[in-house]
Amino acid sequence: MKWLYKFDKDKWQKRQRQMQKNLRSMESIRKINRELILFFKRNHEFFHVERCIEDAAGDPIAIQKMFDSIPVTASDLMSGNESSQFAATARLSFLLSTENPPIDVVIQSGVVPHFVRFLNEHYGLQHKLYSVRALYAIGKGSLEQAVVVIKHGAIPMFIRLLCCSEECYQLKELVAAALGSLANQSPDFRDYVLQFGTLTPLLSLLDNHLEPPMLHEKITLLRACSNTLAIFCQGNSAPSFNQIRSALPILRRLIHLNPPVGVIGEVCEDACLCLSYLSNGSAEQIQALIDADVCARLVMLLGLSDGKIVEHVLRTVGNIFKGVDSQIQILINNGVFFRLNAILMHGSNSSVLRKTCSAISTLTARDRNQIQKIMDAHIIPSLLYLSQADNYDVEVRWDAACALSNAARRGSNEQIRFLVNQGCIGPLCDHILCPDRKTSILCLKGLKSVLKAGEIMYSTRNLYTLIITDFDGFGKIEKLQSDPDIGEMAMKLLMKYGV
Amino acid sequence: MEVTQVLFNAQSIDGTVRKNAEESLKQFQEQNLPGFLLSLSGELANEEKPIETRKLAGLILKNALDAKEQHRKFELVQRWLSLDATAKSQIKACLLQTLSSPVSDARSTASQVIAKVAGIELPHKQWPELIGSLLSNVHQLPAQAKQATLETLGYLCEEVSPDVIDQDQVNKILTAVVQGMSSSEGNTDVRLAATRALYNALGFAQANFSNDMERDYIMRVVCEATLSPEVRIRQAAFECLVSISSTYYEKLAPYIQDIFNITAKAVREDEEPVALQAIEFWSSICDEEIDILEEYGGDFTGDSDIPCFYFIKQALPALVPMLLETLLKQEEDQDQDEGAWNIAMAGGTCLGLVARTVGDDIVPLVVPFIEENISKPDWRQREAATYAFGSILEGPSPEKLIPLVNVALTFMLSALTKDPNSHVKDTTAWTLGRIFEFLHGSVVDSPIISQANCQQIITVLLQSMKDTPNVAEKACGALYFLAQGYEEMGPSSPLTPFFQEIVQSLLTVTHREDASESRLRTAAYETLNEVVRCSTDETAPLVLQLVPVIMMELHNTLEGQKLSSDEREKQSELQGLLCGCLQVIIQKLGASEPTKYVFMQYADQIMGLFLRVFACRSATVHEEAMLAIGALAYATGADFAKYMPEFYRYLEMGLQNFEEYQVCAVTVGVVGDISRALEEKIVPYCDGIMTQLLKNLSSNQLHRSVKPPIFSCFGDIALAVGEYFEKYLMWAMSALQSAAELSTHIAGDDELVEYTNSLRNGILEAYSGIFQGFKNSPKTQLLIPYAPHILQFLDGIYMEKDMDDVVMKTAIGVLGDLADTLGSHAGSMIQQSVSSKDFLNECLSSEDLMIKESAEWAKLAISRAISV
Repeated sequence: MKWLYKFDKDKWQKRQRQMQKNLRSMESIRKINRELILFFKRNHEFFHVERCIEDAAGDPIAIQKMFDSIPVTASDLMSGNESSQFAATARLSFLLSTENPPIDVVIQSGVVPHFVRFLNEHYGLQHKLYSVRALYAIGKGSLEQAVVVIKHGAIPMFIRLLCCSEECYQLKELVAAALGSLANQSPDFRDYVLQFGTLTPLLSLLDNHLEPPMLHEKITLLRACSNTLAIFCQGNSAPSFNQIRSALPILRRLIHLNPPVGVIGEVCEDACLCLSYLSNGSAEQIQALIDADVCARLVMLLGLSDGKIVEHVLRTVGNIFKGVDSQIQILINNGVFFRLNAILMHGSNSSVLRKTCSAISTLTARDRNQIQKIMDAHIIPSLLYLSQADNYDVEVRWDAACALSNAARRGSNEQIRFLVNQGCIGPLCDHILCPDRKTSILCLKGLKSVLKAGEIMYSTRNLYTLIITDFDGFGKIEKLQSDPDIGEMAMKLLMKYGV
Repeated sequence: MEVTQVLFNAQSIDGTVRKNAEESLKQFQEQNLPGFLLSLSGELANEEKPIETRKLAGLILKNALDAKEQHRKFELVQRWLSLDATAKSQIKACLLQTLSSPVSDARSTASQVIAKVAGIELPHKQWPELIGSLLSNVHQLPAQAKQATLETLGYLCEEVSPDVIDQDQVNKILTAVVQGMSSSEGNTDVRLAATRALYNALGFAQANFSNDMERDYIMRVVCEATLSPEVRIRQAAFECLVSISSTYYEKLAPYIQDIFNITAKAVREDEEPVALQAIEFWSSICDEEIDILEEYGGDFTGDSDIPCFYFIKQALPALVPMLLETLLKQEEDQDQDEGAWNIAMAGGTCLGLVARTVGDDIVPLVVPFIEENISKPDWRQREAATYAFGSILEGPSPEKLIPLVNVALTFMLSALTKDPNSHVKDTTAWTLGRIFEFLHGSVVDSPIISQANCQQIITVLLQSMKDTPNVAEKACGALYFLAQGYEEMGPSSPLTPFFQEIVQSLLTVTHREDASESRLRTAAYETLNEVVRCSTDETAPLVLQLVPVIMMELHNTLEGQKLSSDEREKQSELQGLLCGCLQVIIQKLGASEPTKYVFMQYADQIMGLFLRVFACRSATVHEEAMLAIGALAYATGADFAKYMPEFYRYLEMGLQNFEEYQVCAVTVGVVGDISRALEEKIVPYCDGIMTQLLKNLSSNQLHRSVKPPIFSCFGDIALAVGEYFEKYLMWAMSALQSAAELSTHIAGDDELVEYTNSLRNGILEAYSGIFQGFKNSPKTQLLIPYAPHILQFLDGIYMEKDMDDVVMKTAIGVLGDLADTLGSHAGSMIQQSVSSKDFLNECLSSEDLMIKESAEWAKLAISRAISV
């Protein structure tokens, strides 16, 4: 309504005027709604792409159709229309996550640089998610396929996303996983990825998300990061320690996550894996671990007595056992023997048992000092038991025997007497014809050391010869005479001590 | 048959006689049309017949050639054209002969009939000798015949469009007319007829006005005629000047000084009908200059076709005092008389237009007049001063006006309560309304209303609503603009503390015994609606409380006993106001989820009331109730389905109402609303709706303005029901196709261009809806056969180069929809179309963002369709 004139020349009907106003307001609502519906229908793909994908997920024919239309989807993705770009990204990312991802077709359609472009601030979170997922899937492909991702500059964009201040857990989780998948391709790839300074944002991401409340999405983000961190640490040719030692403080925090079960357990497991890699090196390297104050917790984690965490820790313990005495002592002070012995006595997992035995082996192979500590910790009876127990894999028996034979090899006469008294000759004889050459050799060497000790201790009559004979030891040694490596040693033993 | 007697009887006071006569006339007409028309023309021409029957014969003849309704007119034209040529020439001879009759009524009737025949025949290149024979001996004719000839020429120019008459004949007509007007013509009737004829012939004089000599001559004659001793000639001459001012604005410069002198004299001294036309001349110049300046302002790069001569600006120092003088010539009780139009009213209106034309320049010329008169004891002076102030509030800049308003506001508020004169109060309230309309709201930087005076303003306005109806009505209007100014001012409105009081006062006004005077009740509801519309979330609970109140009011209108037709009219009008109010409330509360949720508890009852409003009438449906139901449908969404079984019959009734085409149009719109609300739940009603809509389209009785919405409605339904539309596809497509063919080319005036564009838009919306409705269904291939024609239609309107932006946007969208839905099936077809290249490119580079966006989408859809 407009009051142009005080006097209405046209005798404008006011009733009409009100009606007109209401009519216009309805017409504008109609126009808006009509356009809105058209907009939704026209951009059906955009608004329904998630549902389309969901529907297609279990339907091979629908998936095949989507495969066939990759060229169209790719041209949508490269068009100027953002909703089409979005829908196309979603579709391709879905296809790439199927069982037989059409990675080469997608690469050939030329969309990879666009996926990278969509990681720009300009694009929506969901769009970025689909793009990262697609790049992740390609990065998991063959080496050649992963090269394409790197070639188009995905890594710097990934790092930018990791650093962004927004709390987009899911996106960062995917980015961390994608970086991990690239690094996992080969040590060269890993070093290339690390060269961009990827470690720092990854660590700070972990650092920033360790405070409660531990929401599920936060935990899964941590898991992806810890997994990638583990990939960074591993490799046949390990990365230089200096490149990754900065991870130690975070790793310490990760192994302290409680309770180490479920996804948190997996994070802890990754951290333990990292430590097992990091501990596999020089005494200096081991010292860095010790300085990072991880030992107490690691020993405590052995209390879990089972699972991957224990295995990784056992590997670390084994590595530290290769360090200098003071380093070993730290573990001992934290009660490592108690834990190891508990595993030996109550453990049921063969793999864990083997790793435990092999860690102890490392120690028994060192010197009398360490052997004494093992003996003092009452570990020998446990090893003896395991070396004869037939309820585990046969390798467990062998490894236990190895640990014993190492002790026998390196032990003092006194210690050997202790070992023999405990019943150690039986197992050594039992496993001397072991198909595993290492075990076989060690047992032979162990027996040799026992016989030698017996010779000295019992100048008149080597009591140990009799015990070995009781176990048909010499009969078994006889059979080793033809062995190319140890045949000679066997022969000499027979000649010297054989009855 | 003795026609004279029948015609005589047809005017009898005795009803039976009259009815019989009318019946036999009708029979005669149906049985033998040529004979019927021939005897009527014979009667008219016959000098021996009584004047009454001659006049009636002429009138019936005229009605046999023309009608108000488009379709009836078309029928009559076709019938005349197919009539036997001999009969027609006999009839025409009779008519021409009558022009020389001594009986003035017979001549005048014949003039009108001749013009009607000419209106039919000249565009068909028939009756080429007419103008020649009219003009052949005009100089030798006796005065009466001359006058009749000039009158005929005038009617003729009114009846036919300029392009059907050769310039040669135009020259002859103008020569005869202007000679008839000149002071040398001794006969007043001839001169008057000539002056009135010129008024109609001005549209033909394009070429003559471009010729300096001819134009000078015409202008001189017109100006001379304004000085004629005969008042009717002076009035007719000023009417010519008014018409010239709008048709030949750009030719006026040499004459404007003289015209000013003539008009000023007329305004001051002449009789009112003449003075009103003299003022109208300046109002008309204002209209022209406002349009031109608006075009200047709208687009600096493209100048208006016509330059502005700033006549008003130049005349300002003399024009404004002249207009201010007129303001003092009020009549007593003019505010109560709804039909009043006098020199003071015309002067104020013109002053308002002058203010809009020149802006700030008018302020110093008017302020002294206001200051001098505003406190005078004579009410005329106070009223004139207030009126002058109110008139100049639109046009000048807020910077110029706000200091004045800040001073005046308190004075005005006090005058509105204390002035003893009702005229002064009326104009004061109006002026306050104008102040709020133009100087209050988010567009103005320095607010004139503060927390301090807001309370006072509202108190005064609510007080004035108890004044006489005319004052109360203006107070409602002022409140309307006060509320409007606070629209979208944020989450909190200064009116919130007064909301309850305002609503209560407005409701009280609607219950005043005298609320039907000065359309007071209507104004009160209109203001209530605006107050609700502009309210904020703070007052949402109060708006909710209003729902049962208005529902009760509506309920009360339904309680009436047997009503007289007058009472029924009043009841219906009140129901209209209440339904309109409910519509506004529904839209307001439906706009946000929490309020909608609470409102929904009333939905069933409100719908029940609307249905009862419908039930009050038998033949037609209530427009306002229908529209409010559309609003309700958006609020209820798919739940509206529960009302459909009862509501459907009224929907159908509305669609069937051809006579009241607005009712039909409103109902068509509501079908769209309901389709959107119900989606596929509308399917059970589609057969009935589509059948009726198709029937409407094929009828030539339906007003053309309803056709575009019907087509849009096809689109709405198709979008709602998807592939289910298959049932109607063939019929809908055929209706669309024939309308599309008609609307590709436009030949006609601006109004027709506008209509054609709205028709195109409706057709295109239908296509979009159908394509998008069928998308992703297994039945898309059903649409393939229609694609070539649709593409042809798009190419066609593109090549015509006369579509507006809305059509452009919709059209390019249809191109995308076609590609989107048909995909590879239409790939090559699309590539061959002009639309997919030139048209698309033009749209892609459009500055209109909506067009561009549509085009981007179409481009994508096409690239997808052709890449497969």
